[in-house]
Amino acid sequence: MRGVAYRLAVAVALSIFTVLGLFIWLDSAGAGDQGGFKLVMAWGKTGEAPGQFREPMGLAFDPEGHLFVADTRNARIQKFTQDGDVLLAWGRSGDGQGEFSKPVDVAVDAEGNVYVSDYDLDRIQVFTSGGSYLKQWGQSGKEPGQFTVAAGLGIDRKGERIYLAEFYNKRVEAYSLDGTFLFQIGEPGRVWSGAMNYPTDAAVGEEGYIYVADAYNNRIQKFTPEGKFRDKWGGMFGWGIPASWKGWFRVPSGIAVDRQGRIFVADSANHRMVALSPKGHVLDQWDLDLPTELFSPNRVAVGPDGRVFATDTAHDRILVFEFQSF
Amino acid sequence: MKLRTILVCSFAGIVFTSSMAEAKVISPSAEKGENKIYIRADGLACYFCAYGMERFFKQSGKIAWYDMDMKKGVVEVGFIKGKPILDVKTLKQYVHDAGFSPREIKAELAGRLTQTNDGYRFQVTETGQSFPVEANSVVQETKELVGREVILTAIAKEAQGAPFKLVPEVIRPRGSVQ
Repeated sequence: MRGVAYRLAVAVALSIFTVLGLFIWLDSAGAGDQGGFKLVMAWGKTGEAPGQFREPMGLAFDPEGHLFVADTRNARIQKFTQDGDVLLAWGRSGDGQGEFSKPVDVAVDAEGNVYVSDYDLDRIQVFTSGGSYLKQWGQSGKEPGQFTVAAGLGIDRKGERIYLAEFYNKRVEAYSLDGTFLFQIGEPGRVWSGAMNYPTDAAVGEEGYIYVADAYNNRIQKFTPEGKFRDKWGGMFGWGIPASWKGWFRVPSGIAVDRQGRIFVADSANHRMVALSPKGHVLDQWDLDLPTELFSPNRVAVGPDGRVFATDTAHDRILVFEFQSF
Repeated sequence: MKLRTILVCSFAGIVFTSSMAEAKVISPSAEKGENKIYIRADGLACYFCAYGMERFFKQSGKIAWYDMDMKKGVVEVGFIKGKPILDVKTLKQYVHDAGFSPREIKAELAGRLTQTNDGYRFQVTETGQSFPVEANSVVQETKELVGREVILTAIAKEAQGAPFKLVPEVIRPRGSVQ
């Protein structure tokens, strides 16, 4: 009798492992090779001089193709050509107008105005592309229209809304570009669709879909422009189990979408870049070429010519990739 | 005793100082004190979390600098000179609020070990704070240092009526090489 029970238990265990393995394989299987990262350039080194960085975080392009980088530990924003020539740097440590404590992300609207989120000060400051201060908004708190650490910013292509990924409030908030609160997306939680756990970035695609780097749920979530949940990817059916397998994430901290709808993810704890198809299939992944204990690459942006730029925060540099379609 | 001291100091040196090359200054204008706290926590990970810890430390108004070893899960905290050392409960709350799970807290304090009717106490020179000390084997083996200026490395535990209770790991004369 005990022998039968033992065999039954083994059979059940084997069945579970087989089914689970099949699920994992199906979940991690991509759509095949449809493109690939090619690192074409890296610039920047540690320091305080123009063009140097101390923990660069967020980055974004203006309509003219200039790159803006939140040089976080230097408490400033730097403006570059796409080849890495520094054009401008502004800001200094402080909490006054045009000053920063820890600028962690930048976004640029259709008119070239630069929006900067400050980790410590819970405010969004807006500047011209020349670095002149325009306005600011923000209030610390948990209520709608307040935020505690706006870790990531994303502006829609129509230039109507800006989305704030709120790290400690574990949600995304939509604002008009003048700072008026519109609505909330997601709520704190794990596993379930729409639940967020320390989100760090938001990006908006051509059709207005919002993509969220749900960092500590180890997944990417997609929402409609109205904030309704649409899809989730990573960690077995989007549940958020961390791993380094293909299609799984470990603290994806940065996200960007190109004009073809491809999604680029800075999968920071896996030390790699990941490209997804518009349906969430893995197109390619690229591993960081330097050993690091820290979480890097960290943020990502797509340039006007389709090249992909990422901040390698741990090594104070910008990585530039071509993403080639096969 | 010597072997134990060497082992503990080596452990502290390796765990707490390796890859902590650049401490992050919280209060640039404040004078650094000589007392330090080490917090071991789970979940130390990305820059966003590290910045969170920094934000909460800054809000306390008592911390001069900190450093974080993400791989080993250890945060080193230096107090502003003269500012009272935060109690274990508050420190754990900062760590928790920043998104981590606090585990062990260790203190490295400069002061004087004294013996009273109630047992041993440690008086911190810079702040004048006095903490109860567990009379463990380390204390018994270093009785000759009672009353002298020493550097005490100890596990800090929550205690009623005091910021924390100290469980000594190493007691060495002040000025001696660690």
